Formats: sequence, structure tokens, C-alpha cells
Amino acid sequence: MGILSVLIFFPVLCGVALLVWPGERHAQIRGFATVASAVEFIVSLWLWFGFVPGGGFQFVESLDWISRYGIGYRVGVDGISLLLVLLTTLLTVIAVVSSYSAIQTGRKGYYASLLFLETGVIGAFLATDVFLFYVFWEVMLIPMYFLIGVWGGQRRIYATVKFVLYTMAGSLLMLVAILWTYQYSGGFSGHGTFNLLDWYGLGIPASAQRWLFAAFALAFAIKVPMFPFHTWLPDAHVEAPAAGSVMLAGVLLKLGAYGFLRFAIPLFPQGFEYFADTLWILSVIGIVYGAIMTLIQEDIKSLIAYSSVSHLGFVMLGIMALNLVGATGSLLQQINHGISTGALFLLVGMIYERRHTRKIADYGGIFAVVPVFSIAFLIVALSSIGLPGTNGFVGEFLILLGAFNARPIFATISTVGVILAAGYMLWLVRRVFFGPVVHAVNETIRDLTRRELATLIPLLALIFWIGIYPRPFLDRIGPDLESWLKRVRTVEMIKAPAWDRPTPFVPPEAVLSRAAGKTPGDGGTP
Amino acid sequence: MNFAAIMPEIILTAGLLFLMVMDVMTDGRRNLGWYAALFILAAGVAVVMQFDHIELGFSGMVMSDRFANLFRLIIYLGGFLATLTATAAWDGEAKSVFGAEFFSLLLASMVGMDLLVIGANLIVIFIGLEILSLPLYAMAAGQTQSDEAVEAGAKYFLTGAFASGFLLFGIALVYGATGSFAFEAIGNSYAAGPFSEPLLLAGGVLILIGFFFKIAGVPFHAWAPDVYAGAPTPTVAFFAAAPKAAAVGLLLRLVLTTFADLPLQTIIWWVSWLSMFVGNVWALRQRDLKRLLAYSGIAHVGYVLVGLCANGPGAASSIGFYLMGYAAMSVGAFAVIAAVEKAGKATTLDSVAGLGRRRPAIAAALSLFMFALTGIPPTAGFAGKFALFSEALKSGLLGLVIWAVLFSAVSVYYYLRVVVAIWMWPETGETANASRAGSGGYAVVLALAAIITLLLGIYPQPFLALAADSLVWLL
Repeated sequence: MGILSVLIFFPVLCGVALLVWPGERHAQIRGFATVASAVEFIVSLWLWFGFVPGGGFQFVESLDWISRYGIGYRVGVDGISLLLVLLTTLLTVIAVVSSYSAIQTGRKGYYASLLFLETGVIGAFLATDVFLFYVFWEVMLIPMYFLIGVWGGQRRIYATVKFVLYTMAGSLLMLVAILWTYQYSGGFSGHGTFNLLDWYGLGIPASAQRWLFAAFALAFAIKVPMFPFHTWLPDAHVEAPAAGSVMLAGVLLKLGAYGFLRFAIPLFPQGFEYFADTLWILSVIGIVYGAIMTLIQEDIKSLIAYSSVSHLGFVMLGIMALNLVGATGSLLQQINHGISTGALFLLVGMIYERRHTRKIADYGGIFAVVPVFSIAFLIVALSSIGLPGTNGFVGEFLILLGAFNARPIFATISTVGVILAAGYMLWLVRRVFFGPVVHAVNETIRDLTRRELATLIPLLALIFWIGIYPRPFLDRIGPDLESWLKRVRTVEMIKAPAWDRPTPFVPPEAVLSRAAGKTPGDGGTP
Repeated sequence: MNFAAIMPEIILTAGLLFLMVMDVMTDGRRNLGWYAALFILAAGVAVVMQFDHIELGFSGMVMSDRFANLFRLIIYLGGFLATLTATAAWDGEAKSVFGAEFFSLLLASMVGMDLLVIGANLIVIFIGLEILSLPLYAMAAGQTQSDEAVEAGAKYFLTGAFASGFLLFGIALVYGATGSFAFEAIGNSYAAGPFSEPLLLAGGVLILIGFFFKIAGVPFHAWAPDVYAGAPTPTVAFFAAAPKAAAVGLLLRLVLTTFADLPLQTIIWWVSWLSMFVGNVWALRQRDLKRLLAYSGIAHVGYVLVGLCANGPGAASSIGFYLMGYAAMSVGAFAVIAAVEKAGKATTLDSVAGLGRRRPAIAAALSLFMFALTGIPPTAGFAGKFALFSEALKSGLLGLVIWAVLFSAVSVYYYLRVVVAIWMWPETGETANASRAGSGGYAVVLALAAIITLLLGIYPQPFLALAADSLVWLL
């Protein structure tokens, strides 16, 4: 039993223990959940310190599971999944602690759902067997379905059913593609394998790669979500309880981008090549559309949800640039988005607990009433915009650098998203916090309690840590992304069309790797 | 006269005689379900003990091989769980529907099912089908004070008679074409030369249709929703798994061996295609849980037929594996409905609204079965679909598999609606009634079904191996 198995199965065991726990006292239940998630987080820190950058899959475990079908229990962590796992364990602790007062009914089931969700997400990040990945990918739907459906807002049932239907519809087609690839790996004689590392070297014919990539990409694009598959997201976010939104935005959406990085693109590079233009266009549309949609939102949560659509468009942009800078930025931005948007949803949850409304119009001028809350919100909002000195700047800068290097025109259009982001976030801050207090009820809002502050401080610290000194993070993800790039680009370089080809200049990889004290690696210019 | 070949059937028959005697002796005041369950268990042990033997008996009329033994075990699993459900539904009255007659009929029907899977001769198959069906008609109509139950029995009888007609006509044509009733002789005569192909093909198709009626494959399904809705719920629990397993077992044997050279794939393909479509789409608008599960059952027949269409040893073993899981999860679902119905007298979605707050254990079990029927891991439903679709892709049935997963996605909606009702709807008066249900007997069957559903999903390897070892002999 290695550390990764502990990370995967500890939460689910704790969740089951919580469900059969005879006591009903709230302090016991939440205490148990807090301790369980905290222990999980501390154990996961071992990965951070024990991880060897560039060492490929580490802490690997491999057991036979369903050997008839070449299925194994295969897990491992590399630079791509490391930070995402840590983000998951951190956000779970925060989600648990932030729910103490917000959740009044069915607490056992609630905390158990959070722990089950943690197992599903971590399992999906760590699986290096495609069958195992699919199992976790589906399993995590169920706790999220309950979190939204049982503890959500007014239209929770509509939102949760929509969420599950969307996700299932996409992932079932992916299942067909997975099964087909399995049969291909065994030459259609039934002796294939589900080992991801073997799948990388299959050499599937380009014609098949197209539909296989399409099936995978659909599942992941729904999860990301990319335009036009995003419509479930605002509903799910608005209706989910605050901690559910934190987990949804913080880690569940990352699984979509992670899926592109880990599965869709490296498994089917030629399929990706075929659809690259479409994905670029959809990402750019997502960035601009998401940003514009925020401007007409009246609900703070749905505003943040649409800003997620925009931010995840950037994440996809970085991946599709297929160069080291872009991919690094994209991965870092996934973490950043988890931190910033997670914190935003937390803050909205806190103010909602006090005033039971999320309408922007119901607030105004509360800076003077709740200064600590307002400052925290401002910092997080600025990091979401990408102000230099915060984490958002590092991620977006690298992504745009990579994107310019691959497709300058698309990159230029997408910068509109950055400008709009500053606009909608600052406008939100102005409408909620500044000006006179319009509603008298708002004059008596309590400021943050110590518990609430405790949930925010780790996130605020990370915002500045990554913003000022991202090196420890970049060092851990960089080398594995280099080998990822080699794998992706073995077949054929992705060629940009003539109308959107970058002018050659010093490849930013050289700048980056010089900064990291390495010799320039493979060039980023196609 | 090789009695070893029919030892399990002898045990079941002894059981049904024993129950009748017991009924007279105890004046109908004892719950006899436990005895019936015990006899099924004993028959199962007999099967396990001779699992690897091939026993030919009665001049080659029956053949008890591994294939037959695997399907016997699946039938017994479904029958055993249904028996426990009916036992729990016994209300302690002398005139209970679930008295000795019920369990005797159930055991008799199981003998018929056994005959379908061990029969090696079309005459035995016909007799088996009749022994299977006649008790089912009576069981469907058993609740004589209920109009719906009587209507259900009558409908089931009429369509059943129709199906028997098809089967008999088919058998006659096959006999006309080949001059034999024995499976082996039919197969050989065809291999020797297709001297009367159209006749044989017509016979094969008619036999197939006869059994499509029994498993409720579209367009031969119209009876199923009415019968499911009208018949007593424990009876439906019995309908749901065991007869289907028997009929599918027989179809496998016919399609893979006796009729291996006939072009029957097209008709199976279409029935599968239609069943998935009709079952899943019609289920969307059902508010009655039994009707909903009836359409769900039709859809699942569609999935099973995907495997039958794939036509190979791997596909056959995945069907065996699928049916094991299906027996557990469908009977489990009906057991929950029986528990709810016993207290509340209704089986609509409203009658389970808010059940999660009152009866979390039962509600959790029903949710698990719904997730399993949807095919969400880590349950038997997912492992089964995985095995089926994987084998179908091996045979190049990409289009049918894509069709199947599309309608699996549709099915998410109606299965999850049940879960939504349980956990997310406010309670109704009916739920309050349901919360008073005694559940001692149900606890056993629900726990058993839940464990099997999860076990087959989490660690399917030994069961897949069992199914594969049993079915590889078929070819």
C-alpha cells in the first residue's frame, strides 16, 4: 500500500465511517470531517517534498485488477498531476471548514459527500490506467450530484440533473472510444491493455484518431467547460452550496483540461491536429463570450461562473499552443484558477450566509461595514484579473506568451478577455463595496470570523507566493511538460495556417529555461 | 436415465411437493418462503458440486454442461432473491398471496427455466417453456381481489400463448427442414449442406421471435409494462431476472451452436436497436416505478442483445456476467418497491418522495440499484456494460455500441429521477406511510443484492473468469 493508495482511499473510508457513525452531534461530525481532510492534506504534502522534478511517473503502484481485460490498478504522479492533487486536498479542507455554519441539515451525508468527491477527483488525477481513470471520472459525479441536489439553492434539482446529464452524455461517448482503443491495442483479439503508458505508443491510424479524439474531446470540453458546452456551469454554480462551488470550480473543471493534457492530445496527436483550429476558435470565443456574459449578470455567483468560462478558455489556449511556455502557463493557471475562483466562491458563500442574497443590487458600499472581508475580496479579485504580483499574472502572461508564439491572431483577440476581466471584476467590486450604503440592512453585517479568516489565509498566501516566487511550482511542472511536448509532437509539427503564423523571434522557452538555469530545450516556434 | 443431469431440478420439484404438504399441515399459517429459499439454495449447491461435469441424459434430450450450470446459477440467484422478497411481503394472514401456492408455482417455473438451459432438443425446450410460463400466468394473477392483477395475468397469458404458437410453428418448420428435433442433428444437417435453407431460416426466426416475446424485446414487448404494473411486486421481482436469464441462455445456445450458420444477426440487431430506443425513451415519462422498471427491463434486453449480436465466445461470457449483475440489481430494486408498497399501497414516484430522510438505508439501497441500472461505476451495471460493449466493439459493432451508449445517457434521466425523488423531493403523506414498513425480511434481500451489485462492480475478475470458462465450451 503506497502513499498514493492512501491518498485515494483514505477519504472514502473516512466518509463511510462518518455515515455509520452513531452520534448525531454536529461538533463531532464536523470535527471528524475536518480531521480526516486535514490528515489527507498533510499526507499529500509528502508528495510535494518527495517529488523529483522530471522523474516521470513517481510513487508508482501497479496491481492486477481485472486481468482478463488487461486492466490494472495503476497509479502514479508526475509534474502534470502533482499540483492538481495538492490543490484538491487543500481545497477539500477549506470546503469542509467553510461549511460549519452553512450546512444545517443532513450534515453526515454532506461531509461524507465531500470526502467521496475527494477520492473520485484524486483517483482520476492519479490513475495511469485508462479504465481506472474512467471509473473515478464517473464516480465523482455522484457526490457532486448529491451536493448540488440536496444542499443546493432554489433550482437545485434542475441544476444537478443538467450537470449529470451533460457530463454523462459526454463521457459515455468517451467510453466507446476507450473501449475501441482497448480493442485496437489487442489487435481486436481481446488481449489488449488499458495501461496508459502502452497506449501512448499505439500508433493509431490518423483516420481513427479523428473520431477517437472527438469523443475524448467532447467529454473533456463539457467538463472544462468550453463554449458551447458551458451552459450547465452557471446553473450548477449558482445552485450549489458554497463549498460545492469551491470544489466544482477549484478541481472538477480542472479535470477537463487535465484530460486534454493527459489523454486526448498525447493519445491522438493527429486527431488533435485535425481539430486544432476548431478548438482554438472555441477557446477564443469562450474567453470573449464568458467575459461579455459577466457584464449582464445580476447574481455574483453566476458572474464568477461566467468568468470561469473565460479563464478556462485561457487554460485551453495555453495547452493548444503546444509549446513549453504555453503549457506551463496553462497548468499553473489551472492551479491559480482553483485558488482564486475557489476563494471568490468562498467569499460569496460567507456574505450569502449573512444576507441570504447574492444579488449585486442588494449590496453597495459595504467596504466600511466589513473592511476585512472587502480587502480579502479585493485581493482575490485582483489576482483573478491577473495583476502583477499575484498568481494570475504569472499564469496568464505565460499562456499569452505561448499563444502568441503559436497563433498570434487568436492570441491577440483573446487579450480582449484580459481587458474585459479587469473591467467586470473592478465593476463588481465597485458596485458591491464602494459608494454609499444603499440598503440599511447592510449596515449591520458582521465582518469575518476567525474561522472564516482561517479558510482564506492559505489561499491568500498562495496568491502572493505564486505571484512573487513561482519558481518552486514551475520547477516541478516544467520537466514533465517537456517530455509531454516531445510525445505530442513526435508525429508531425502542428502547422499554423499562413494567415496566422508567428514571426520568428527568440523563443520564450530559451528565456524561461535560462531563468531556470538550463540550456534551451526544444524550440517553441513551429 | 442419467438422473445426475437433472439433480437440481429434482431438488426443486421435491421442494414444491414439500411446500404443498407443509401448507396442508400448517393450515397456511406459517411463512413458507424460507423453505422455498432453502430448496433453491440446495439446488444451487447441487449445481456447484457438478459444475464441471458434462452429463447427458434421457437419450440426449438434456445436457447438463458448464454452460447450463452457469445459467442455472443465474436463474437461482434471481429466484432466490425474489423468493426472499416474497417471503418478506408475507403479511401473516392465512389467505396471503404469498402462501404455499405462490412458492410452489415459483419453484415449478424455475424447473421450466432449467429445462430451457439444459435442453438439447426442441421438444424439451417447448415443454420447458410451458412449465416456465404457466406458473407465471397464475402468479401474475395471484392477487385475485385486484382487477389489475387479473388483467395482468390475462394479458400475460394471451401474449404467452401467442409466443408459444410462434415457437411451435418454428419448431415444426425446423423439423420439416432437417427431420430432427435434436440440436446437434439440426446443426449437423445444416453443415452437411443447406438443402432447405429458407425453411430452416424461417423456423429459426420464428423460434427467436417466440423467445423475444418472453424476454420482452421490442416489438414483442407490449405486454411487459401492463403486467409489471398489475402483478404483485414480488412476482414482478421474479419476472424481472430469472425467466430472462433462462431465455437468453437458450438463445445463446441456439445462435452460437445450432443455428450458427443461419443469418440471424440482422433480426437480433434490429430487436436490440429498437429495444434500447423504445425502452429508454418510453421510460422517460413513467411515474409509476414498476412501469418505469418494466421499460428499463426492455432497454436492458436491448443491451444484452448487443452481446448476442456480437456473436462470439467473449460476447457470450460477457452476457453471462451481465445477467448475474442484472439479477441482483433488478430484483433488489423491486424488493425496495415491494417494501414501500407493503406500507403505502402505492408504487409511484410520489410514494418514495423524501424516503431518504425517513428510511436512509432502504433509500440508499434503491439509489445504489438505480446507479447500477444506469451503469455508473463501481457497480455491476457498469462492469457488465463495459464487458458487453467491449466485446461488441471487437466484433465491429461500432454503430450499435454508440447507439447503446447514447440511450444509456438518456436513461440517466429517468433513473436519476428516482434518486432525486428519494433524496431531494419533500416528503408526502405516502412517504410517511412507507416509513412504517417493517423491513426485517427485506433487509436480508436488500443487503444481499447490494453486496452482489457492488462486488461484481469492484472485483469482477473471478466472475468474468467463471462466465468465460463456462461459455468457452459452447463453441
